[in-house]
Amino acid sequence: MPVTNPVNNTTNAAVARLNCAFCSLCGVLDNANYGGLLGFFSSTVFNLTPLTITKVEQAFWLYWEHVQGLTHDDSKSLERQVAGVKWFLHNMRPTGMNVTVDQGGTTDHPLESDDAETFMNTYPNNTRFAYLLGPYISGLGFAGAHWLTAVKTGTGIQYIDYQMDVDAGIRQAVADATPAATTDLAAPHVTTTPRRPWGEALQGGDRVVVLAYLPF
Amino acid sequence: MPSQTEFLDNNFTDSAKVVGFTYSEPKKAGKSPPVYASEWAAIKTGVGKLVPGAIMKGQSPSLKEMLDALVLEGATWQELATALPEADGTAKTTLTDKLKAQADAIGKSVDSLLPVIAKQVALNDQQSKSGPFNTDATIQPGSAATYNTPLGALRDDIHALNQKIGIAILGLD
Repeated sequence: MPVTNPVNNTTNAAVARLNCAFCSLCGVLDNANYGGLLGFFSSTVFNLTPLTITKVEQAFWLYWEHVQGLTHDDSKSLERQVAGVKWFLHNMRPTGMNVTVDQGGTTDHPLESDDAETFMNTYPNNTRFAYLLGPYISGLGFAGAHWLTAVKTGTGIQYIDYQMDVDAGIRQAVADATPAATTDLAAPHVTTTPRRPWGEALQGGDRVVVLAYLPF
Repeated sequence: MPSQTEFLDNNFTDSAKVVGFTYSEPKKAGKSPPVYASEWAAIKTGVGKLVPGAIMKGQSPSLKEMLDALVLEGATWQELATALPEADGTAKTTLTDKLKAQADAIGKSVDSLLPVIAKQVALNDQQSKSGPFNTDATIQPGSAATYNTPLGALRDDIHALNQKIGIAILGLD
């Protein structure tokens, strides 16, 4: 079953802006929606009960610390979030198939967007990627981050922001709190270049980490 | 504190369930991960066979330097993995921690390497069509496969071993 519109199906404008990883992973798996994947994650993958906004925000980071038996460390939030997303995808198998996940770049040594595109173009058409981008300060790391879904197509890489496919009841509230217009929030935001949160243009200092999802 | 169901009911509408997927973590490989001696040897041999001129210049570290660093990390992995089964007590704990850190370092190196290899392959393809530039190679027209076939095989070997190590390390307490 493909993603179900709206993908960002929360009725809470704060939750809608909370964890773009869930909406992007719906795109990578081409399945479910934010609430459906969050419910699956908490019930089947890693028990987040009692479920709170903080737990949703930190879900993949906490999950990786649980998998590895690591002490909670605020300074490694993004590195561990990427590892958690990668491990989750690695273990999410379409029925009857196996999966491998390739990573391009790390949070310590991320890629420029052109190099990420070269990397993604080495994969077959219809390969889906979890694509993390954000402002990067050399020596300090990422100063923010956003997940997109990317898809290799016959004409290049397509970037999809499923977080922008917002439930009609809260579009205005989300628009009021973000740079996006309500008209931009009625469907997945599809572009041929990667975008920052809520459709804002990439900046020169932005860097990328890519996870290729490869069922076989 | 809301339960999971309450939180989802209170904050989401029309949630669509995940369909057609199963989630399962791989079985743990055991207390002591393999040394992977033959796999590391194959990678070392593959690195040694690369044509130096096809390695991109103007990038620091270069692809060759990154590959050489990975081979060194592999040597350390093998030393630690060889020593672990013989260790007891504090030494075992120390070695286990070092092996976990080594697996992490290898994983990061591979994550950095794969895109650089992809870039090199694309560059070789391009130069094979339009003539060499930006390397000290003399790539003849139509010769990309000469460079890219061994590079692709090396990439696959590195990728496969990294996957094995990633799973094996989970077996450590």
